Amino acid sequence: MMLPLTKKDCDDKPYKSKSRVLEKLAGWVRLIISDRDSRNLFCFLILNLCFAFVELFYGIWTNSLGLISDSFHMFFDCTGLVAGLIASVIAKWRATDHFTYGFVRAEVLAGFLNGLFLLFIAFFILSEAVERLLEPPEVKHERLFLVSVLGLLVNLVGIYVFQHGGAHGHSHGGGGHGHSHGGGHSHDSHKHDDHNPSFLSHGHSHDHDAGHGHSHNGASHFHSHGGESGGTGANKQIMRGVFLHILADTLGSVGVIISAGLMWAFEWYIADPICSICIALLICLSVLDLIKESAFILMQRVPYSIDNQLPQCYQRLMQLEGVLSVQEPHFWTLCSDVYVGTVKLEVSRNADPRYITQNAQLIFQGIGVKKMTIQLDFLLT
Amino acid sequence: MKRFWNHFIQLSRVLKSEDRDNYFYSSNLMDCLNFISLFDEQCAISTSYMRLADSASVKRYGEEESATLPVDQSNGELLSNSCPCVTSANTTTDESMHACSNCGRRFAGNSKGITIKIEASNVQVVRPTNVVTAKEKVDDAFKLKMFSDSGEHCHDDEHRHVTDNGARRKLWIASLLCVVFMIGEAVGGLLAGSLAVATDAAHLLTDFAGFMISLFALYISERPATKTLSYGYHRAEVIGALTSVLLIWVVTGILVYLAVQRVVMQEFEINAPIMLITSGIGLINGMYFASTWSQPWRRCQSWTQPQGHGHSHNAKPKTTAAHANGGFVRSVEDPENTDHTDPKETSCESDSSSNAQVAVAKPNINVRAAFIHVVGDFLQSVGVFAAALTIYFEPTWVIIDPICTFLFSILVIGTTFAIIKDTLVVLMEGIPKGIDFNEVRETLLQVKGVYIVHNLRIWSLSMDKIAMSAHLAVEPGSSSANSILRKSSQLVKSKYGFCEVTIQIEDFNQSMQDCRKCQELNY
Repeated sequence: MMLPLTKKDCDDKPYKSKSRVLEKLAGWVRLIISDRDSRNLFCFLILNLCFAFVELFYGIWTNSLGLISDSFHMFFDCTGLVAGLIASVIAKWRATDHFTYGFVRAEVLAGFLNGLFLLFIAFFILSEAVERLLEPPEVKHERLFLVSVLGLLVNLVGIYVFQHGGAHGHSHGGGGHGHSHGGGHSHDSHKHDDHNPSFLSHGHSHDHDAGHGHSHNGASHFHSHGGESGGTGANKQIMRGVFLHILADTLGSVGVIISAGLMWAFEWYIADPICSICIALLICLSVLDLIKESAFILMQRVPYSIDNQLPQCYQRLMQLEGVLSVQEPHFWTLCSDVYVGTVKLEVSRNADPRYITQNAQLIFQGIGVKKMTIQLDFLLT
Repeated sequence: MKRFWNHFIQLSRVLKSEDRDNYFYSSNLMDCLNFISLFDEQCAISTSYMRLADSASVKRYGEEESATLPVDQSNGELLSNSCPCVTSANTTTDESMHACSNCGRRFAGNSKGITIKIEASNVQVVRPTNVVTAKEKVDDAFKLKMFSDSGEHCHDDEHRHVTDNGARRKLWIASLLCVVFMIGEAVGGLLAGSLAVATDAAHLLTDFAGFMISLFALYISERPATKTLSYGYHRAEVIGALTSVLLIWVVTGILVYLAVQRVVMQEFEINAPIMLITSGIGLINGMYFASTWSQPWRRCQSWTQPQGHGHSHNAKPKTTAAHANGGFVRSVEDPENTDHTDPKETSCESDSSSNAQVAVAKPNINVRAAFIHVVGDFLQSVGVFAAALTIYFEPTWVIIDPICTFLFSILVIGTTFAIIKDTLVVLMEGIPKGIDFNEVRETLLQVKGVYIVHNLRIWSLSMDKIAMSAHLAVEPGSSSANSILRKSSQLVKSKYGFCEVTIQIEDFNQSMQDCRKCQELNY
């Protein structure tokens, strides 16, 4: 039996669309699993999703609005994790001719969007808390105590994992961490009895590893800590954003627990909204740093790490033979640790272009800018 | 804390428009002189003789120099051979306006002398009646360069950004209306005790926040470049628009959540007449905006002009300085700046001066974001109105309320996709629509002497400003390198309107053919 000599593989049977989609998905999953950070993210996402689904079904089964709304809140938080995952997948795509620098910026964008998201959440917690201050509703908290403790444990796992590996897991933080979803954010639901115990209390008493981040000054320490230990350079922004998300959730759970305790022990119903306000402020403060940094990267600011080395570079450039002036230097960050620069040098007529170009490139490589474009303008006189 | 305060002071200074218009700075002396030449005669000028600095010399980093235009002290007229463009004497032909016959530069007829102080790298124009200094100085890293030939410069002239007053006015009006409606609805809702009205007021609040963000972004993006933000603040526009649109998403998400809650709890508090009134007001609001803001979508009426520009030296004297460099693409051989258009006029002339492939003239992205807010609000009002009508006539069909919410939320999210895609392309450093990567490569390859184009990168600084950088491998032989550089820069600037072009010329050698890293992007 003769073996076929040719194999027609591209004419009549195109891929069925279904298998192509599945293949794409499989490819993405492989990509996620290959990198340690995104693998952690993925696992944590699955964990949270399981938790959220369990909570949802339990809530529907027992017909408890508080549980249902809290599970929705968890799903809502999942989106931050999903955004981080998507960004880490996108950042690995190769450059196309529509995106000549590739897709590495996705990382910075993910950090920025996560930060914005958290800021919005903080605002809504604040508005909710103010509402509760004006009309203190009655709270019932027995059933949710267990759930919030469980959620806290999940969050702690997340913090532990992502502090070292960086990745941002959204921890749903269990029942009723003071986010607005936790029941009663609209007027009509004030009628429902099954409110979540409100919100967050001072997280200062919380003793997880990143505990020093709770105060305002500590926030900056905290970020640099999380940032340094977080992942590889390429994933830094994503991991920071995700980590902040988990932190916000943890603060929420802690707040719920403590305020529930306070209310049970001392009947201080006013503790509720006050705690929420504090937590909202804390979240705001902790997120501002990330937003500022991402915004500057997106605005193409000169990278911080080479900021004070640049004047020296210009001096050294001027010392090259033939260089008369340095015009229009532009340096910006593409993603973490990848810097791009362009500069225009005015050179005299008989200068050696290759010498100048090579040395200029060396000078800039010395400070870490690997992608340089150097334009030499010869003076005609 | 002090830093915050300083920032705040700076910000408030920037926002006062008089400050912005009071200074002009440029790292190019010629540009400065052009600007001065547009002053009318009321601008009193002090007398001083000034020595023109040696026009062929190049200032060293850190030096200071005063360059002045020589003036005949007896009658105050500028000496004809004082034009910095020439080294030999010329006579002028124009008598009312003192004009150099060589380069056409003009000076105010009876000016007695103009002082230009050149400091380290930037040029301040000092008007003797009111001495104004630049509030933002381009930093010392730049150098002043003076050429004896007025033609070729290696960089584009700094251009005055045409402040987009039309856009700002619209946004201010919109926010004012928004506030008025919001207060009205809040009061009405309190009196009537209705939830629908209260949520609508909250929705208007987020619209207001969106408008404020857009306005803020518009103001910030006008600021000139600094040393650390070397491209300027243009990206602020895009970031502001993105934030504004994300706000819509968040609000829509919350509304959907509320609707879901209602469905689950099966508890509806519907007060149909009040809902009708509220949504009716919302509809009217939306229709007003739709009518006044529908113009932006027509192609030729643009509120911002495409900022691709070549050298724009000679501005017509009758135009005000603000419009003088409202850059249009212009090839270097044509010394006359063709025209400028008032931002509110209908004109399609922006493309006429060259066969430019500038990106399609759409309105400012912040205005678009605000428009999306308005559209979203309008759609929600339509949904509420429809639901209210149904419930009014059929009081048992209360389920229609959440269903309408879902449907119209999906619509609202759908309207945001276009603008989010645009902003994401800019922020991800992608090529803007309308520019074809391969075509740019082909254009560069057409220049005689260019063998290979590699590391071609094109990205957007803002919606209408595009930057490009590339490495060209040319045939070895250094004499042609400079002319190839000039030619390719001019070509690409005039054809595509890129506003920042940086080209590195390398000598071609055979190993480049096979170098894998230099291969064209595969896709």
